[in-house]
Amino acid sequence: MATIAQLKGWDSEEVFNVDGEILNQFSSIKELFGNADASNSEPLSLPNVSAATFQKVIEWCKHHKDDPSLPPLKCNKAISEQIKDVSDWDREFLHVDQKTLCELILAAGYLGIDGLFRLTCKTVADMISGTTSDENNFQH
Amino acid sequence: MLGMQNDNNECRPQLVSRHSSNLPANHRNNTKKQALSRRSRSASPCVKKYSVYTVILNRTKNDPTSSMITPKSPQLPSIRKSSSHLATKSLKASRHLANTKQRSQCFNDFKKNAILYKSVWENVSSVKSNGPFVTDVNSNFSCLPYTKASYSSSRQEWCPVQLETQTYHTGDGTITFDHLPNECILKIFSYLNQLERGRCMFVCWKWYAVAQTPMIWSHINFREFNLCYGHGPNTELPQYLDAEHTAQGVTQVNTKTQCTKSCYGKYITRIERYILFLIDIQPKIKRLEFSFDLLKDGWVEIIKHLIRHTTVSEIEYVDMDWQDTPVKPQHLFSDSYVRLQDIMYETRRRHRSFTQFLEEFIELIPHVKTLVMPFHWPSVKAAKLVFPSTNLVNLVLKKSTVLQIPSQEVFDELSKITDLERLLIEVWMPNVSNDFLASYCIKSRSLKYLDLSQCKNFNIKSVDLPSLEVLIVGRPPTLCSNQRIRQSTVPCLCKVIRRGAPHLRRINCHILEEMTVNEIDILLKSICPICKPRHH
Repeated sequence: MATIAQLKGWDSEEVFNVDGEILNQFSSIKELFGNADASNSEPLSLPNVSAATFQKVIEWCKHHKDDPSLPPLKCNKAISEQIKDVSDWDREFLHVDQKTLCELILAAGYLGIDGLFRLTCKTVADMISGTTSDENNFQH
Repeated sequence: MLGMQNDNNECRPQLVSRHSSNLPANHRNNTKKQALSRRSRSASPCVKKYSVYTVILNRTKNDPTSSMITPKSPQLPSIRKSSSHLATKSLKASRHLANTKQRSQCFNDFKKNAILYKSVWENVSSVKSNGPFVTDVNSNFSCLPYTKASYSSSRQEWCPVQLETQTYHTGDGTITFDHLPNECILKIFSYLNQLERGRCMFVCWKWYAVAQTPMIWSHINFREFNLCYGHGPNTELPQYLDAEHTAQGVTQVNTKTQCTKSCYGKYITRIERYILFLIDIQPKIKRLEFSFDLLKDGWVEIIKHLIRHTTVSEIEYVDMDWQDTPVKPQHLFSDSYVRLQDIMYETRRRHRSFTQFLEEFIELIPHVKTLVMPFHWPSVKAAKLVFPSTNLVNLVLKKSTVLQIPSQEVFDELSKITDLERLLIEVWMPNVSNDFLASYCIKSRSLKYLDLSQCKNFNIKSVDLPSLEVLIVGRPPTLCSNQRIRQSTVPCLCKVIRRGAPHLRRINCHILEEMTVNEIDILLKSICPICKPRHH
């Protein structure tokens, strides 16, 4: 699909050409490029998203472009039951240091990528609950 | 709010302006003062963590009547009791505990805990206590980052100049967990369970403030609380804090053999404090689960206190077991009821008290969609109370006592629920005699899923279920040697199903569309008590 948006991270001049399929997943900024032909205009600089992070975000979006949109969380099941298990690809994808993970959360929240946002936050939540018990064992 | 917009709409405004209308005015002032003092305090995260405990402990020492504020529960560090009943009750409990030895023990435990949480915190966050950005974090203590940008959808707000003012990367380009916007932390917290969240509140003030957002406390599950989280090395002094128990690496959770009666008392206190915490932050409860014997230990008052003082009108899911408290160490509370008639009397009283409770509760929860509870089947009053006044979609009615004969009126009331789609019932009929075989009619215009597999000796006379798609049945009752009586009293289930449920697609795990007529015949015969092939 043709490039319809040009974006760049805050920390470098590297311009990413984003096509419609991926842009659709950026629910918070896709409206910006609604009908306008953005290919000729200035590339938009994204605060809160570094170039390296943006690269990873695009990688995730490419892999998940065919995913159905996520249903809103319901009350008839506990939240932990509603979050699906993390797939192998995602686990590998999130096998990064904490700094990158933080940047991914920030970027996913900022760009409005619901799937990635849930996934990363879930990862950290698991870390928090996991860390506590590991920590305990260590202390003992 | 970006990605969280879908499911977490109301979280942001509530964090800033928490509505606490049910609380007395002086209490509100108190909280404000405390909040102010919290903000002004805390030079570094490390100092902050200790200050949580010292502040609370100092207050406890100065004011003996407020000893209920002692942070015995991590969920409730500074909650005042607002109900006099609960206040006196827990005051007694806390006085009971409040001797100096225990207090110093408590203090030591807190120090230990603080060290642990500090290490957890540093593990999660890579910020050092004297990092250069601590002041920034403190100054932005309660302000919510990227609020403006996410709220407005107008294009002017999105111009790069505005966005640049709301960046979260630090000067050298690194982002740590400390610098994540509160929305993100909130989202992370929403994936933790209640106890983990309670522990996180003790990590630092920022987490403490974020975790008080009412939105993430909409799912209340009292079953997550354990009676006790094990006993530390000092066994004659039972532990106060559940976080503390885990903190000391006790992995054998809930070893009931070691617990004393006081553990159960503390469990009740912990639940009461949690409820007071909920009353303080006023979440809109969407889901409620509990398992308390409403007849005993004042549970009915505790739960009533919760539903009267919090917003329960938006509850959609209720799972309540009102006849048993599974965490209670029954062997320590030897009941004097040994005679059968005493047990029967107690059961009757329990039903009555539950019916009274339900009468109040069901009026408060008009939007409930799913209800799971044991049901006293002979009680037509409860059925008349519950079923007509609700818009239930899913209903699970378990047995309450072992053997009970429901009346047909209960099923008539069931048919009045207009939107009911899924129904699971558990009726155990006494296998009294061959002559007495009660059978029932089940009617509903909307029912799609009917599960009878938990029933025993339950016979269906007729069904009128035009929308029924799935039927789950257990083994047909094997009773009655006298074929003639059986056929005269129990109708053939094959006929009943064929007549009353024309749109049936699945029986147990068998999808009817994929089966031939012969196979369907065999299937129907196998579930029917009349046509079932007999083994001689």
